[in-house]
Amino acid sequence: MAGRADLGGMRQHVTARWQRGWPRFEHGLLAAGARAPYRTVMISAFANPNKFLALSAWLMPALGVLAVALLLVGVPWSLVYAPADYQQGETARIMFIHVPSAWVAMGAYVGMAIASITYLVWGHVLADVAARASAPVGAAFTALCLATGSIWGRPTWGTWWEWDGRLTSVLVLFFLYLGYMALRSAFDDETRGAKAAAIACLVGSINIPIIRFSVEWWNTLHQPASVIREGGPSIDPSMLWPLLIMGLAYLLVFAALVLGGMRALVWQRRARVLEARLAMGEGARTLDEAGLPGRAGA
Amino acid sequence: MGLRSALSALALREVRLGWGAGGGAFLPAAFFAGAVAVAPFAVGPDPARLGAIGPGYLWLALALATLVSLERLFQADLEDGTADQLLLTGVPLPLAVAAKVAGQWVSVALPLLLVVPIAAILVRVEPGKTLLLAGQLAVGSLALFQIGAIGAALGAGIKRGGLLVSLVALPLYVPVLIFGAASAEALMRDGTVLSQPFLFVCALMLASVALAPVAAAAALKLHID
Repeated sequence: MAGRADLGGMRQHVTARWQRGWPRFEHGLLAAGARAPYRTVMISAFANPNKFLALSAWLMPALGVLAVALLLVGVPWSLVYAPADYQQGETARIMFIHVPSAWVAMGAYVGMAIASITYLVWGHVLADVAARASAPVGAAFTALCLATGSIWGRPTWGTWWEWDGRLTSVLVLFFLYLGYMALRSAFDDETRGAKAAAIACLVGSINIPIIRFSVEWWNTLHQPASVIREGGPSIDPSMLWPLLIMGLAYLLVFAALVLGGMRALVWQRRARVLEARLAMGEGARTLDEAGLPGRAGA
Repeated sequence: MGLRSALSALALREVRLGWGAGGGAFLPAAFFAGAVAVAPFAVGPDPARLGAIGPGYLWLALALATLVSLERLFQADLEDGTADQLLLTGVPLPLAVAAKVAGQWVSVALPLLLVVPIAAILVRVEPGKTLLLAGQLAVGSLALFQIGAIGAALGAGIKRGGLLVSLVALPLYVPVLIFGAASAEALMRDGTVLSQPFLFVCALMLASVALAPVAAAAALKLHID
């Protein structure tokens, strides 16, 4: 990856604080001074940790409040006021918990894959932080999807677990999440762990359609998709609306949790830098100046 | 040295290392045989049940045996500096990785595939079909090796990376296992070798041979300073 261009002309986009904080940080964390600062280009607003912290400081609580508001509307609507299913009766209401969690479970992995590409190609550390923060939240939604699917299966299919195509593919997705997190945590070197996890995430994302196809080919008991399909949704609007509201609420919960996780990771890294600097006798500067560790172009 | 001779030298080196003293290339075959031999203790010796489970179980045992063998695929090269030399040769790393995996496949999978007909008889596969089954497993094993190499490369620099490699690679094995077991079932049922699921296995094998070395090479590069 040594051939990556260092276009000095792009540096004007970098904020003054960024310029102050970044190079020193590199010396602080990687004491050998092995990499030059400003390796890569394309520093967008989102790649700047300080801007990110400023943005997420209000965006995260705003999303959280919006999510709670939507849940306050969506939960009573879907669990009480929406009509019961004509075949499955009241048990079908678990759909409003189950289906949005499946959406988020898959969407989170797609988001992680996009973040991983961004990290590997452009070396934006913040993209890696986003992928890292998404993994446990996505895994939790996947677990929720599996648990509610299993609970729903008991009255409708008569069994807690059925090796049905879609349940199985979500189970595989869960293992992909576990593998990502385990791989990440196994590395001593954070940058290497980040890149390895990004590669694993991309390999997994290429495989997800294949896994889905194979598993559905293998065994299908699950009802076919009824919201996102050709010819419009087959689900009645009286159920579709609360479902969509719940879906949006789940998405906002996910976004707020990921932003919170990202903030924690950024602060954690800064704290580590300050510690390293203290150990080197440079004296502590403010957390704000610490920035993020070096970019990925090793 | 031309690219082709460099790649064949790499593959041959893998075979020599595997079959030489302390290479341990026969261990996965032994693991495979052992895993098949203990199956009747778990599910009972009833011929009908064994016959129903057998072909699919052979695929499972193959998948586990490849995982066991892949753990060390890149580890030794990283430890003794061969991987650095590999990078210096100028051979494109994906091709070098593909050659290594091919060599590993020859040294590890071929002995394993020789065991398959015997193991198949142990789990009550009709004797006339054991060789065809071994052929299907051969195609599948190539896919499993290539996919597993990604996991092996990712976990190469990690202490006790074996379990990690399994956790990363197993979800990726699912499609091969599904179509492999289904093709074995079709073979048992009406004797068709080129059944639809087996064609899928072939497709997966070709795709993984083409794509997996790129990912594995990218992962391996991480560990080379």
